[in-house]
Amino acid sequence: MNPESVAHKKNNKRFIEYFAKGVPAFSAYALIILIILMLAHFIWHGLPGLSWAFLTEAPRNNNTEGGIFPAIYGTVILVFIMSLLGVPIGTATAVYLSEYAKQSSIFARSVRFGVNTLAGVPSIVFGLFGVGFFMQFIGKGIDTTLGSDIWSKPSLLWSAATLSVLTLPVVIVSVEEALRTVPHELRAASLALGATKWQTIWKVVLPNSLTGILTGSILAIGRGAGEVAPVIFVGAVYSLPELPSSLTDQFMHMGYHIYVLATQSPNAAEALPLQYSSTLVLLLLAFSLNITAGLIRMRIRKNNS
Amino acid sequence: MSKDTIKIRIRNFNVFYGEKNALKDISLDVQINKVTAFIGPSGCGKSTLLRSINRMNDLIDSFSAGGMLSIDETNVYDPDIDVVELRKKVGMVFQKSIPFPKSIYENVAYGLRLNHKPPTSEVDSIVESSLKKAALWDEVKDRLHDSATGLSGGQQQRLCIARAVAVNPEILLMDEPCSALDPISTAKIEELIEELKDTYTIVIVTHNMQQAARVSDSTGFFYMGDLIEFDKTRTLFTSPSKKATEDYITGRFG
Amino acid sequence: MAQFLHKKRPKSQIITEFLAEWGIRVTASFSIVIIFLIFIFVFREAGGLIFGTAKELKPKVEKNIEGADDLKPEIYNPETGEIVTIKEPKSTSTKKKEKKSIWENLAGDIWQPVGKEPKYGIMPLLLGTLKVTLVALFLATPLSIFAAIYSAFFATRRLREWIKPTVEILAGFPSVVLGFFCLVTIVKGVNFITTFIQPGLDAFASGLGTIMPFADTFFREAFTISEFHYSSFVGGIGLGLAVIPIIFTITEDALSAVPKSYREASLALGASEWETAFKVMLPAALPGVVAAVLLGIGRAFGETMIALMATGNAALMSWNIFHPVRTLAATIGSETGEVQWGSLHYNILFFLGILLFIVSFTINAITELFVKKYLAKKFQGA
Repeated sequence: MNPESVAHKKNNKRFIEYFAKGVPAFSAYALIILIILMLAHFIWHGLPGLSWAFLTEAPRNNNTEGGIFPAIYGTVILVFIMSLLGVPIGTATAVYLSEYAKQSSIFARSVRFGVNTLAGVPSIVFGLFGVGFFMQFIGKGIDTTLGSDIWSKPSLLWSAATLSVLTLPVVIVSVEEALRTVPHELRAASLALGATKWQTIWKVVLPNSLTGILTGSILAIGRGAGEVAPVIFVGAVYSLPELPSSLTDQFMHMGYHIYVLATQSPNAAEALPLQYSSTLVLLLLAFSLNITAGLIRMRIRKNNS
Repeated sequence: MSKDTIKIRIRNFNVFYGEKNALKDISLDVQINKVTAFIGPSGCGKSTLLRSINRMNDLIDSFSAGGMLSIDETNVYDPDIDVVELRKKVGMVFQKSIPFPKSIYENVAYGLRLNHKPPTSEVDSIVESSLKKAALWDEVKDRLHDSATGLSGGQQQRLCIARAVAVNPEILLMDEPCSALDPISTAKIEELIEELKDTYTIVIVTHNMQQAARVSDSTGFFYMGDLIEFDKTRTLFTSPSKKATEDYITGRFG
Repeated sequence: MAQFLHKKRPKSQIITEFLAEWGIRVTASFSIVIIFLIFIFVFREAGGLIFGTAKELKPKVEKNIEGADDLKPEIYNPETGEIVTIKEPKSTSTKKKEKKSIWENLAGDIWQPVGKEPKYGIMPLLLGTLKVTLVALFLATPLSIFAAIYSAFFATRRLREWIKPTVEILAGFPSVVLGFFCLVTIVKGVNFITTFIQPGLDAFASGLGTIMPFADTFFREAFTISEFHYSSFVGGIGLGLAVIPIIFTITEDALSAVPKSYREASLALGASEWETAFKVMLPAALPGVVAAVLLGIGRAFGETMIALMATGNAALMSWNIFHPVRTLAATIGSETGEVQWGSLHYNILFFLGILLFIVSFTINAITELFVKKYLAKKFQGA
């Protein structure tokens, strides 16, 4: 090999190295800058419109004035009922997976597969499921039995039920992780003292993973609060004269509100500042929940390491 | 040996983890109110045998046992044995002592309150007597309602002993109870074992041969799932009958 | 004798134990049951179509005609007032009056569910979904994978602790917010972007055309900038934003899970950092990367709000990525609220839901059964 070709090869290699390291670095920085710019965009445009009145008043004048209180209220009530329905089921499933399931059992593997599949189902399909199952089957069943006509209509209850199904995997994954951080020795000690399996779970395992269950609920709420597609057909409405007062009422929803304002408002340009402020409120809600969950999680991991 | 003095009788006992034969044809007798030690290199099966006595191995999916392991002439692997009742009578102290993240008092009272709620005065007196038996009372009597996780390692281990004796067992199993402790705490636990054997039949697994020699009355040496030799501790350590035992206790392997 | 060994526990305790265990087992089966229920009940609502019992509820549909205005695409373009008319391709609209079967109708290429003679051709919807998904993947995949490589191999620990949470912030953006973001920024900037990238696109198209000369015109058409503000290109950018965190996170996890010994061995053999990253670590984590991209496809395919807000929602049979499209999910999202219950249109919307469900189920099954198993086998004992 003559020295020139060696030098040439070396140059070539340096060139490739330059790219092989530069392209990933560029991608990572571009991504971070993009995300920061997006955040900045929403803060910049949304912050001026944020005020106490905005958070506590109802919309006026075709959504170009006033606040979004009914939408905040509807969303909060919605995710609250959702977690009442979903968290116990998710926690029980996580307890099964972590405490009862044998790794090799077909049932355990099916449950895991079910949870993962559920996590991947498009949210709009959950909306259809809400219509087909909760409204048209359960709701209609109740109506036929009671002779009423309110249960087979879109409502707060069916929206919450639909969302609780959608966020179930979030709860399960997060609670299971927490259950697994409970030291094995605690379970063994309890069993060796003559506690039954359930007593061990109820008195030792669950009390030691309460924060994990809390994290799971918070993450699920953060996810559920932002989902619009599943609740379009099962209860969210564009505007309501009154706040929902029963489970069978319809409700206003932050995400749906943003969607309608952005796409179907007769006066989109005028409504824009309010749209930005609404979006910022939704983002703040979602992020504060996620950050809280993240901090709790970090503490659990630290305590157990 | 008279029959009445035998607490645990083990005959042709086999343990399998799936296909693996972890204990092969073990036969030995544990005398009542005596300390019996199991020694041997890691993975020899000594802990497996210990955990077979209170059926903690049942928690492992692939576990299966054959042969006889009886307490007071009743086979504990008999199908109509209630494992939960068995474990109440066969207390266990683990290598890694982790108290429940509750108060000292609650830790000791945990086993008492599992099935019914005894009156507070009764719980109080059992907690006190258990802590006294575990030689911990004087150190903690003023802070019974503090968190147990604040205790030192040696204190935690004695708390675990108190927790185990509170449910009034007949047998105490100890799985390397001192392996994580400093020499002073170890000495305290060994002293305690000496006192406890008046009330309980004790089986201890240890990797520390000096400890076995100090605290036990009989010793079994295990190797690769076989019980190589089982004898009075003094005999086993002074004139072992098998070459492998001698090699092990003189430190040639293990 | 060992009395205690035969002592029985109180009945109440045995019952509690039994109820607790079986209660938990039954509850755990919910996840499986729900999958079945989704399938059964979405199927049930599409039943009329599948079992051929659905009838065209024409008069009723026409009663509903006021609501029908909402379904037209231009309603979503409030600012520009653009009206996207659906051109009727001459070849397909043979004016035969005889009854076409529902399946023939579905296979058609016009989606016009409201009107005197509703047409339910889902081809433009499939094409639209495909286009948007492809654009989203084309943008998100390289960016996320390269960023994941940087985070896993080249970044300092401190930096890495910043990158991951930042990307998680993006994952926390509700999709309606991403849709809104597209609407207010990308839609406005799209003219600028497209003029900027037109030469590049031309070169790209002619490049593809050179490789595949038979499809030369096709590629030229597919990448010709149009004047539409809302298009699969814009929607694809939005969907890309939704997909990036998924691909990034899973890829990063897969790359970090490759045993350190691989890297040390490679470095010890004299390979450089980047050679180790690209020639050793990346191939080792490939199943994870494949899983990441698959799950990204699943997300893009079924995403509703972004598609609804940024793609223009016109069911055009066009390969041009700068034309408006209507995706399956967006069709369900915008039409299910107004449709007559039990009508053929209603059945068909649920049928579209089944399609989405089957695709997501298949993608998940592939990642579960093949990719993860492969990954597990690969690192066992490593």
